[in-house]
Amino acid sequence: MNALSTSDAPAMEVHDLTVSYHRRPVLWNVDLAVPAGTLVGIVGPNGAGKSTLIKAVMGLLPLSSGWVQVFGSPIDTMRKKVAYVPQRESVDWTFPVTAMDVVLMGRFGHVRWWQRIGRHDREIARESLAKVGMLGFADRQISNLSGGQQQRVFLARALAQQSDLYLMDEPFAGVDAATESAIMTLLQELRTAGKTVLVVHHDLQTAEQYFDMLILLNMRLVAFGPTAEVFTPTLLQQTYGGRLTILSEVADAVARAERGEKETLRNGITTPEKL
Amino acid sequence: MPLEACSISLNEQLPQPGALLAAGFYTDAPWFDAVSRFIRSLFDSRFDSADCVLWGAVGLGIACGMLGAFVVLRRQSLLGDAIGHAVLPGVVGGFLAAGSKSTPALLLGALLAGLAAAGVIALLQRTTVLKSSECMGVVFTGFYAIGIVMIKRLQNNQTPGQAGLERFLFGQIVGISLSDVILIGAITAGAGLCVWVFWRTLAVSSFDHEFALSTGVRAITIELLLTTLLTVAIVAGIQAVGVVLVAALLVTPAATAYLLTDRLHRMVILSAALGAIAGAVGIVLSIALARPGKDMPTGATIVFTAGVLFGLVFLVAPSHGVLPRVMRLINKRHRTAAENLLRTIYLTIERRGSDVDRRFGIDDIAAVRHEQPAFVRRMARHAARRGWVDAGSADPVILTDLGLAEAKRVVRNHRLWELFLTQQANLAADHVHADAEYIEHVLPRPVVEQLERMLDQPAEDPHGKAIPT
Repeated sequence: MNALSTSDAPAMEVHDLTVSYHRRPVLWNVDLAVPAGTLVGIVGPNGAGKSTLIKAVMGLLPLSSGWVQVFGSPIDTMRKKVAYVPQRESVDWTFPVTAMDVVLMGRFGHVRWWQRIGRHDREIARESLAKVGMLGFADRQISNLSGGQQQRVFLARALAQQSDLYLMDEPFAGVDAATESAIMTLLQELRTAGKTVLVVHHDLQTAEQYFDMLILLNMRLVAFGPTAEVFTPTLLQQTYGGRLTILSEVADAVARAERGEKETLRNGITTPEKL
Repeated sequence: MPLEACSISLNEQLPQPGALLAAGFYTDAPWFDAVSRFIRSLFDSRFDSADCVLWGAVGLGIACGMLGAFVVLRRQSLLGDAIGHAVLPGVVGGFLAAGSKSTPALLLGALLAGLAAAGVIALLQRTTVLKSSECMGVVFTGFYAIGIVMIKRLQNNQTPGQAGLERFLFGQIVGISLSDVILIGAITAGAGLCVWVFWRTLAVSSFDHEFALSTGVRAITIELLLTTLLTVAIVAGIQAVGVVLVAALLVTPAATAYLLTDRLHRMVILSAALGAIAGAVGIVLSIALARPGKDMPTGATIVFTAGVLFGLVFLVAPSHGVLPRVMRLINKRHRTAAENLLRTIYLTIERRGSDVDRRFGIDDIAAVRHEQPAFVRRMARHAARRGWVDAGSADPVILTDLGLAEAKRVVRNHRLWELFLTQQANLAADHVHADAEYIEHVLPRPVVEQLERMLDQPAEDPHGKAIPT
């Protein structure tokens, strides 16, 4: 059926993953093994490295250390098995394409460069649009869609990829309540179909009810496990509390040293109390 | 400053008119004779210099327009300008290497300089805190200055064969040879083939770069493909348009096409077509505006033409244009006036209790509306144009069947909205009339249907008046 039945490897595994932007580490030594067929939320404060984590998994960012595997293989050999949904704000929605055109982009990875997009691909794209309730808007230029509709188009594009692992960056950001529940239903259907879904999520209120498992992230992995086990005041305090700002200071120091800049101390981080 | 110095030297240099006059275009004949001679020469059976010039300009327009669409969509217009200026030292370098103004050598030099500039810009961006605009600003002005210094040195040294190099500043396509045209044609065809083959990659990476990477497209592939195509288009364009203005040939037709369509393939085709038109018209303009023995840079006239096309589209584009929008606004105002007349007429019908008598005096309507009779007559004219009142009768106004139906629709919209405001938005009945006065003219049919459902097919408005059906 898919990769899950042929091997027992986790849907996604990262080992000792460290990622830096301009030499400043934003994720430190993360170890994760996400079992297949789960719906996983990634939560943490702003700047915790949530988006960075899934971008690193997709190979969009260089890794400072560690490795990433998807269904037991390097990501580059598994791209057809993985669908990535970027943040909606990351693109220009005045781009001259229709909703259908965007969803068809989900098929590009499945077509060799000399082949044309065929009827089969169009059929899949139409089904995907129907699943998110957007078939009636297929021929709309995308700037004429509401924020929630644009997000649904992005999800339809991921569905059209017919992958086994879905990585979504804040799909609930700035959408209306109807879209939020529609998306949630869709995610549950995917999980029921045996797919693995990782969702960057910013709303703690709903995180508890939405996800089977949670990744609590704040530059390092605070906790990963079934929601009932990790959604605890202690762990949330560790994730959102200020105790980890020391990591951010050290990251700055690393960046300065790596760039060959002068060492300057800020915020008195060397005072004993803070250490 | 370097630019100025060179403009002066242009004027000194151009009494090199032999080549230009030999081409037979910049003559002392009146402008229409020159233009008509050029056009006649296009349509005779020989493929002569006139055909070379025209097809060269059209080919460049197509190549730059087509690739410019992607430049505009990727918000890289500034990069186009940067590479355009930065190719100048490459042109001079190509001349030095080849020892003559052989077009392939000049263009190869330009290509290398353009790619080098793009590389330095990318390197600066990656290794410093500077933003892309600063990196481009530093690099392209630097390259351009080097080019100016090189040209000036060659001129001052009276280096044999250098005369005419400065034509690459502002562009002069008159006098290009058949082999140049074939080269331009090959570049245009090659760029077109690239766009066709890599269409999906270009489209997806222009729209959503990270998604493109996530499906396995390599960032370096996209960068190389686009920078190379961009540089090739610029290099092809500098002969006709010159390094200073070549960015306009990339940006202006594409920006114009962007205003005209919201489909990618149409935008690319339109942009190429607009580039071709700008090229052809610009050549004719250059011939018309030249004076005996003095040329007129085709770069200026081609870019001017592209700018005029943009201006026209800005004014008259069907959906985004200014004039159609103004027309729609005026039309809407007239329609509103006519609808207001119908509503007053309908109220009169309600008072009379019957619509058997369809005649309504102008003065009566004016009295009800507290408006001048002259104004009511204007309203009646707008209604007559729409077939709502009889066009033959000025006073009294005679309502048509169509007008009666329209009157019911307007009053219905008005009363439904009043009802919605009082029932669902909790406004008092005396607060809602002025609002409905405006809304009745703009309610689309689906919204009216939704209102009917929400209000459960109501029979009366908040003031107790019947809602007409």
